[in-house]
Amino acid sequence: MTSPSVIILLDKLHCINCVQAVEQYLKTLPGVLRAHVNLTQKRAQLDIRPEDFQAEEVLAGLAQRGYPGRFLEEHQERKTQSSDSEQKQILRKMAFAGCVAGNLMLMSASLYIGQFQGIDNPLQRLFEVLSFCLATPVVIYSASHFYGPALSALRHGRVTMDFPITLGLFATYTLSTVAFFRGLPQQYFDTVTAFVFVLLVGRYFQSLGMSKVQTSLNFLAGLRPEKVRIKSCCGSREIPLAQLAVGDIVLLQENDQVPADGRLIEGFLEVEEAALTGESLPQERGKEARIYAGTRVFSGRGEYLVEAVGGSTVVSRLAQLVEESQLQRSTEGRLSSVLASRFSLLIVVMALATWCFWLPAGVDKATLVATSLLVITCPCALGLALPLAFWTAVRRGVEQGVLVRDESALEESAQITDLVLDKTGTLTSGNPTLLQETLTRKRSEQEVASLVLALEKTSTHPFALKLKSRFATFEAVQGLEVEEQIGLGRAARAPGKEYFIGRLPALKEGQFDIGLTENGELLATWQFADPIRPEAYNLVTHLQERALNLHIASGDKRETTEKVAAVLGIENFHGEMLPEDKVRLVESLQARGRKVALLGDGINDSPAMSCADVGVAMGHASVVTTLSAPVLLLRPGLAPVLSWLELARSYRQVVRRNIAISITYNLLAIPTAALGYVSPLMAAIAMPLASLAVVASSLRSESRVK
Amino acid sequence: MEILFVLVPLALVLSGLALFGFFRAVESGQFEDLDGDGARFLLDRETD
Repeated sequence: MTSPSVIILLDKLHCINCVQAVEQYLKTLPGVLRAHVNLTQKRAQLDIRPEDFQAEEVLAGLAQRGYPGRFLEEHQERKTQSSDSEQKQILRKMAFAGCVAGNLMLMSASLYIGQFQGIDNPLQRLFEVLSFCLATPVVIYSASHFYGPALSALRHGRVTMDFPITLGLFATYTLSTVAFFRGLPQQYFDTVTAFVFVLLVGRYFQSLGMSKVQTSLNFLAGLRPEKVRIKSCCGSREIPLAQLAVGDIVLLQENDQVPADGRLIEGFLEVEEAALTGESLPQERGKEARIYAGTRVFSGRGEYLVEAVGGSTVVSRLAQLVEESQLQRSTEGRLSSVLASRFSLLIVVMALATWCFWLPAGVDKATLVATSLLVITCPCALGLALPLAFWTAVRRGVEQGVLVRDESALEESAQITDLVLDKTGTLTSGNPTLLQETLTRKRSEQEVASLVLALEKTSTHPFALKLKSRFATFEAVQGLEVEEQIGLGRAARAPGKEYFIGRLPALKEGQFDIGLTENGELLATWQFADPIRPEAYNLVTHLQERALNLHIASGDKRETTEKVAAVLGIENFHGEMLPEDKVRLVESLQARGRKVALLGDGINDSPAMSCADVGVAMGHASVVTTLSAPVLLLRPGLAPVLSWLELARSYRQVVRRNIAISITYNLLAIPTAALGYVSPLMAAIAMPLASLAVVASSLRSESRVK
Repeated sequence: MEILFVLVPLALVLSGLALFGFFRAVESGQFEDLDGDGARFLLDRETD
């Protein structure tokens, strides 16, 4: 009877000494019978005696030693286990195929030489019998990794890349078996098994890569504290994570696990975002900076406004993204899988045609040639290397603060000709300074303050945040129903009164950005200065170097927009744009045949972002924007913009290179095979070499230092 | 060359043993932590 076991996720493990420290500590605990730490997966597996095992104390003890962790939850456990066992399966099948292939190759060498030098018949027979007897289980067992999915896809009416592989395998095997029983020399059992082996090696590495991503994501999704400290009317209180909602203000301090996505409004933190980006050095996060669920506060304290919880957080979305792609065999509409299936069909048709063509020379010869054709052509560029290139790009992207939703987003990103930028918060720091506040005498400062606080309660616009912190010592008016007027401001109604705060385009007199009105009468105005981000100059230069046309589209006043445009050297600018205006701008550019990307950060950008060829949500964007954006920048500031473009460019390069290699290879291989110059053995060597070349080409971008 | 009739099957048996060992290793999870277990030998082991 085995003792129950538990798993503790420990993200702070980074070297063998940590492993030692944790294992030694765990072993001293009563109730722990066995403890083993897995450094790669950052977890500890314990066999326990439930009666003596004190879960909370164990976690406390670990945290004390610098290794805070949490128990792996049930449903996640199932997920990780299945990917584990898939890897184990591949390893076993691979080993079996490899073991047999190696032995068969030795025997085949003898048989081959024997064809020239002469070989004793009994010996020949021995080798042939052994080859057949060993190859058959390989085809049944190891090759099931291919024909299983191929058949089930076929049952659903789809042709996947596994299908030509399966066909090739079975054709070669059948041919060899028939030859075996007839005593003919065309026995290619070594080819079949070597073929299976090489393919499985490729699959194993693919699975390794996938599971690394899966591990860190599972782990992220589980990395949430149980209780969260939020700011309430009278100080602070603790609530369970499940009750955390958008708009709450969470108090963070050292060693806290960040429970949800949000924006820092007060304080200063150093956040360790290794779980999300792989960067283990803590990153400084000041006001307006975005904080992500799943990361950990290294030092400092602060308050942040929750913007996304649970499944809407970046972390969960990433996990969903991976999950959806893990089921990659059932994804529809993905360019590579669609192409792969067309290609597979084409190959099968060509093989049949070749077979018919060669029939006059005999069934054996025909089958041989057709088999060689099936084996030598491989849509591995499409089925293997393109997804791999995409995954590599996604991973590199996340490290640099760019999250890409799917392949088409990346492909489109590489073709962009025009970039539409928002002004406030994107090109400018989004941290405006209050230049001037004018209060008309109609209402007291306190009344104005309480109105402002009520109206802007859930607003995350830089001006609103500024005003909220300015009036932080006041109390908001209760009972107002606030309605957001996108692109303009907020309005509220009370019996007999209508309030509004925001842009007042009708009132051109005086210079101000935001005004507060009651029943149409001005109560107060505020003017802000929004400094341009220092990195904006650099960005504009780089973008113009890449021959991209830049446009500024801002909701703010025309004059301020013009000023910013002039300073940055951007020719096209538009101020006072409502959401519909932005859409029209995008459409007019597209009508001229341009490919437009829109970098936005607010709800007022959403319609234009969906209209654009690529919508990019900036690091400080509001949650709604990020939820639908094909590209999400994880870091504040403009640096990720360049990373994103660079990523798209290198992805396109890799894809083109892979397709070129694949096409060239196939153009050379197919005629050669169809004309009968290729034996199945040669095919079995050439094909994996070609796929390795394509895989190597995809991974090459990995090693390039960024 | 009759000796080959003994040697070849023997070789297969030996590689079969190796395969068996590999399967055992996979089952016991030795391939799950290539980083940690690889460096494990660096730790000071307490004498059992």
